[in-house]
Amino acid sequence: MNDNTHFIVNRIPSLTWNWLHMNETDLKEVPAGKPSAVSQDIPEGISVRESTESALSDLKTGMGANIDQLVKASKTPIHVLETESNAGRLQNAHLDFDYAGSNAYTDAVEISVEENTELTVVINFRSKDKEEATAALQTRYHVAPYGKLTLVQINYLPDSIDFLNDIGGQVEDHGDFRLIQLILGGKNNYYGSFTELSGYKSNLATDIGYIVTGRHKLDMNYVANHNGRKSNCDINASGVLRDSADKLFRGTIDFHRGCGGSTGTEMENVLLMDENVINRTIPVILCDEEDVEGNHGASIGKLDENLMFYLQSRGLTEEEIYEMMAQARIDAVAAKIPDDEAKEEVREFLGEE
Amino acid sequence: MAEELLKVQDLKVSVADDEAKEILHGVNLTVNKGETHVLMGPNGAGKSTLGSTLMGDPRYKIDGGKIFFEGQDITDLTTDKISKLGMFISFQNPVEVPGITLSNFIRTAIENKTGQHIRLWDFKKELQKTMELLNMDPSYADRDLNVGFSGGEKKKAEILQLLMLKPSLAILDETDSGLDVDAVRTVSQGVEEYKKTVGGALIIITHSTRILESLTIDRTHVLVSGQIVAEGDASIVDDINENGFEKYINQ
Amino acid sequence: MAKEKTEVKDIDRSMYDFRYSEDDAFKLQEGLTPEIVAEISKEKNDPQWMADFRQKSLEIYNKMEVPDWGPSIEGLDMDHIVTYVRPKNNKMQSDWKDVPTDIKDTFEKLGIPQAERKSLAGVGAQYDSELVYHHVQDEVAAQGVIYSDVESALHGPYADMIRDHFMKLITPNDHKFAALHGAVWSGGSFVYVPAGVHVDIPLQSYFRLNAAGAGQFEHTLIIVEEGAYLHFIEGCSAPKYNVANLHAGAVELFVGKNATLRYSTIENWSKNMYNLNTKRAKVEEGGKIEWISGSFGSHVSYLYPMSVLNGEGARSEFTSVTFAGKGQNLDTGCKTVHNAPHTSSYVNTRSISKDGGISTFRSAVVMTPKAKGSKSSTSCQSLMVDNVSRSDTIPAMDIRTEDADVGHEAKIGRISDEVVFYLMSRGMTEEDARALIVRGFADNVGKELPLEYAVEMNNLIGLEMKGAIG
Repeated sequence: MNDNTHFIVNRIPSLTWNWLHMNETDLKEVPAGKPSAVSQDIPEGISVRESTESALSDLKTGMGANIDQLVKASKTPIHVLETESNAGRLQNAHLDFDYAGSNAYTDAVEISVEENTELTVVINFRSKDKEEATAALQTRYHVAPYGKLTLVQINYLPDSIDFLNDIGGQVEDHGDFRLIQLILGGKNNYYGSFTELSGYKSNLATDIGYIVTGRHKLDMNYVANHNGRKSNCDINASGVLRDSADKLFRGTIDFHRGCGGSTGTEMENVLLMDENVINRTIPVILCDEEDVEGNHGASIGKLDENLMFYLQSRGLTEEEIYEMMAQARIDAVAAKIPDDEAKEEVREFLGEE
Repeated sequence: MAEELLKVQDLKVSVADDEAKEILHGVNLTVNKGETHVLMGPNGAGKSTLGSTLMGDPRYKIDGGKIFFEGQDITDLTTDKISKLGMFISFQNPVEVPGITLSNFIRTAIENKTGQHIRLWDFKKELQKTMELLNMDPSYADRDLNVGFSGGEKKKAEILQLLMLKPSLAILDETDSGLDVDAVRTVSQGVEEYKKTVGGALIIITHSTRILESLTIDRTHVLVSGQIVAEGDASIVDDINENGFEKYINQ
Repeated sequence: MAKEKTEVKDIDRSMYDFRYSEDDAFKLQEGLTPEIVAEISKEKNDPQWMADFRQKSLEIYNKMEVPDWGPSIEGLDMDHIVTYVRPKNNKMQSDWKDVPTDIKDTFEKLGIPQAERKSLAGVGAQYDSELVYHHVQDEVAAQGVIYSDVESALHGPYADMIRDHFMKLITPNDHKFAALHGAVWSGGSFVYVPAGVHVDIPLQSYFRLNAAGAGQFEHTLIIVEEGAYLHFIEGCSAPKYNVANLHAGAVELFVGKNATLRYSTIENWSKNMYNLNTKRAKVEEGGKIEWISGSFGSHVSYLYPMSVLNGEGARSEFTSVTFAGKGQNLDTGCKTVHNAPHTSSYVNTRSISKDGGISTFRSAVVMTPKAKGSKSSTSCQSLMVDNVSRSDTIPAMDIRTEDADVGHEAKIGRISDEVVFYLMSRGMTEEDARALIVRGFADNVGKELPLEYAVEMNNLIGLEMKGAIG
């Protein structure tokens, strides 16, 4: 796979017709890069170190093995964040990745949340210089029993940067992982996340909000792997496509035998704003266990006619309504960020003060 | 002497789940043939749990005690067998069952119960008459069981089954809740008809009294937090109607 | 998914499993070579273009790979599949009394002549590779409706029409088994309904594969002209053998302007069958294709009827139920291509898995930039009957116009304990209660079928649900 001509990412767990070109994405070649400049604000109770060894390397990720090889080849140090057990709710940690001075970046992060500890990590991606570049980040996490990790990632990149954002981790008994991702910038974005719900009553909530413009691509692969009994996942992707944007969303809920009592829901809501957009979606539910409930819903396309009529009767033009509803989608995801500063910055970025 | 129909002895029940939570903590109850009993209690007291458990609902686990019906130990019997012995429950929220019409369903149930084939003509006539009594539009007979029925029509369909299946004990679980005045009157008429023509016993689970107005009540039981805290004649109903459950809760 | 074995021990299917000796049938040798394909051409007296087409298809077949997605077809050894079996005394008849006795008995047992007398406008019956019976009611024929086998149509007045349409919608390049079909196809039906003709009662074809280790490759070609209406019913069955059988038919449907074609299938192949069937419809302006599909049999199925909505306002409806029991891996679904403005598609599917069966719903909705103002709605539900089975849902959407309205809903779950309890409280046994719920779940298809077929489908479900309490 990772020879000189192929770099496969975001392969869906259960393949379908090849003519759809949705099974996986081949990036051909991704250069191993240097570490980016990371500024961090880490409150008390969290230990931070840089390591060359990964303690969580066995955990699968959403984008797949080629990213592992890339991280290995780049020899980038791993930013490791760890908590103590029984620490209760910690203050939010902040990391800012600034991509400057190179045309290739490779970074890695590992987060371990111990028992009865609650942590929110907010990561921003930006680049002051507007050089053409490829940036890759791999994040692995582990949530111990009764632990809770909220990972917020906000992409403010300029449209000169291709971005690969790979996540993988495991949630144990009664553990909770929340992933909130806002994709507001970047050129071509590749996002993947694989969550191993191994624990009894482990929970995953994923909220993705995106705006794709120009001729840019957004290519996603999200997998909730249910092994724990009574585990639950909610995957929500909501976004706006403009110009000639090209989006592909892959979402898989995989109920393995033994995960009795589990539930999973995937929802996708896409607003198509311009004539030349490409919107592709493959929402998969795999089910090898009887006692589960899996749901998927998607609504793609134009705004509902009744809604349009209602809003027009309040004096808004069609264009104003579309702009408003597009904004509302991102706002709804931003509202879930448990960090006032980050929320404020998103609003500023979107010009909504 | 009155003939014993149902006897519940020290019944302890929890939810059949991995985090078992006990709901009924040793309930005793005796119902004789043809008697009308009222089971009252605040929300969450365990009234519906008791009704469902008597009917053998596998979602509840019996941790202790026994249930006898016509002298037979039915504690471990499956729901279909209990039904065939002559017990019936009118559900609070009857489920929708696509794929079988109301009419076909009732006919199958009667034939299952009696083990005898009934002539379609006879059956249709009786069904039609009974639906008339309950002010049900005859078209409901050919609609899928409860599918798309309003709350009121679902309750009427339950009473229709009661009248057609003719059980010796009927448990009415909140049959009057959520109904308008007219519908309550219709349902009450149906219950009266059951007493009159079938002469079976009733356990009426309710927290209002509208459905009871035209019935003679033999005994009232008050269930609070999974225990029977008071028993007596019909006067308890009036007392609760006036003063609420407060004094029973604080016992 | 490669671990599946063909070995099946299951419910009583005796009404489908009876079989007759094939001693005196003409059989081509096993396998697939240009010589064997040439032999088929000779047997069938192919026109030259068809003989060439077969050879070209074989070349394509040899170049193509088996799919790398979907259920395993490892158990299918193409070198040993007999591609052509002509029943003895083969001569197509238009009166049942002229059909050889054991073949006639087969169809009698399946209820085909009876159904014809009662409720069909015409019947075609295929036994192994050839049609043995074909008949259409006089009044229907008088309307100009043609219903015949493809072979005779190739030499008759409609020869050019066949040539213009044959494997133009499903080309040999589509996939390996389409190429195989192109090389060895035999039998099937040709239906032509002229403009404005409304065929009031259905036509039916019944396909019966009797020979062990054989393949059936019938070709169905239906052309419904402007404003016409047709309901076509397809039934399939086969007795069970211990060697793999293969069905790789092709169904090409051309639905004209403002025409409607309803295509109903109850498929009940035996559980040693590899059902790799391809069905496709092209719908012109204002036309409509309605697919009704019940899949109960076969060991492995790949079945995804495709609707190409090519004219403004063209519509498709796809209603299906798939029941995967022990030893079955049924990969079914549909494909819809919206390629014109204001087209609409509606998909409603149910899949049931039981006793270790695997059912997969697989679909694709494609809207091209031409599909402005189009709508698509998909609802797929899966029911897990026990905890040893598997059910997957793999729907894909590719939308390339902003002026679209695409909705999709999928649900996977089990039989509700609450409903079972309700039914049992009225005296029904658990087994009966669960069977009733499954029949109700499959009612989306049951409601759409003519009564006799709905009853047959319910019987199939009843058979499958026997002993369903685990």
